Amino acid sequence: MNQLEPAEERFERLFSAYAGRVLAYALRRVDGDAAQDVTADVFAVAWRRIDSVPHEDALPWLLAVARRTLANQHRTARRQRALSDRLQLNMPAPHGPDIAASGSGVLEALASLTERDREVLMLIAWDGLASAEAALVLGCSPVACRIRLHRARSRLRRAMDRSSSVESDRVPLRPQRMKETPDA
Amino acid sequence: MRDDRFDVVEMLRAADPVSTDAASELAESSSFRNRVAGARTCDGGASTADLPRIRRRHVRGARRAAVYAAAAIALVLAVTPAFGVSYSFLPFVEAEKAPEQIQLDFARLQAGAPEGMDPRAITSETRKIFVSTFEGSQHTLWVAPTSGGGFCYEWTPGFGGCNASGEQRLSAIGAMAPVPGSSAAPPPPSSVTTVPDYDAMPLWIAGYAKGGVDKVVVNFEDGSTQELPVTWVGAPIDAGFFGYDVPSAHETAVARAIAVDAVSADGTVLETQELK
Repeated sequence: MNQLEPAEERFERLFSAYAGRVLAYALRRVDGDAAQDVTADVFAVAWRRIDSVPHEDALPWLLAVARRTLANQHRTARRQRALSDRLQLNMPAPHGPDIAASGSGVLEALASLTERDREVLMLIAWDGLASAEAALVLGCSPVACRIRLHRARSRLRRAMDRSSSVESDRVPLRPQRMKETPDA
Repeated sequence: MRDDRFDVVEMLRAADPVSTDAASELAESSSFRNRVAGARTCDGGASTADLPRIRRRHVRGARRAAVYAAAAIALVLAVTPAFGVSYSFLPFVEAEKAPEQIQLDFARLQAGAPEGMDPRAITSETRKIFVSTFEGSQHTLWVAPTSGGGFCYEWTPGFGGCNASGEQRLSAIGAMAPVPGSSAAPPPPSSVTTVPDYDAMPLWIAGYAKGGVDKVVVNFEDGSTQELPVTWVGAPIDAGFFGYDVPSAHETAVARAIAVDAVSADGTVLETQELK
């Protein structure tokens, strides 16, 4: 990439290359309108700090900004909800896809994990990052990220085992077929 | 136990609830690009490269403003009485929504209210009513309905208050200054909302009227009167608001504004509020 290219061209190139992936990242975590706002904010930050955006593979940088933007949004929403509780107003809580009620075993197992475990798994599985890239988004070392991923994988596997055993407990037993006995 | 060779990440990948291709399509849509352009412009940092786009937006904005202005003029003309005092009608639901910061200001107004005195303003419905100029600076009036059928208001910069149940018919507050030549102490910074203990006169009068009020009239010390321009706001507010920059001719001890009347359509003075 040309380090001297004009800011506008660079921004356009960043937008074309990554807007879809940043928006997909946000859509997996909050609902549609909020996801678009988050993505717009991410690119506003990218525009303001265009010189700080890495020239090689900017996606982890952009997703790190998205993650912080989402965290701010959650904090604001929490404060507003607390305030609305105090004011006895009914404000909807922001939410992403309802993965817990998706009916998919793996998604339900994912929903049962901590936010910390979920985030690393989602970055790898859904956002398509390598563990070193996910480390940039999470703000930890690549080694720490690999350990976190390993543990999160194990917990997801255990959660799936648990849910499948509960599921099998719930399934009514089929009536056993009567063995055919040859007529005497 | 599930086989360790069975990759849960692969399973997770297959269960991704969001299609990146669909997200990319959405990201390329003109509506989303406009949203990003808006965020960039609001965020600052625009370079000269943005100028053509911003100019185009301003031209479109100016055209739109011209259309709105023409509509507003038509509306004002339609309701302007023969004696020429301008007033206007603003459907509340069509007024511009307040930014989040203003909504939070409204929420803060009532956050510490004692039990039973909380005006219960619906802060998310706060809207901009109009801008009044006072001594060269602009003051914006924001109004939010309350769940009790009234409203709260705030002038920025300035002050705020509530008519939570909507029962108060008239409120007029003056931004006070010492009358020229008096041996008054300088006004305290909060003189807008306090009763000064010096010989004072209002330089700016702001307030509201509702409940059968047809017009709002200011009375001056010299016996003259002046009907104030009022912006009447539709449901659920149903009140008229005013912000009046007192003419310099009335910035004297003998001609200062002393009271505001709420007057019905048949000329009956329904209520009077002194300015002090």
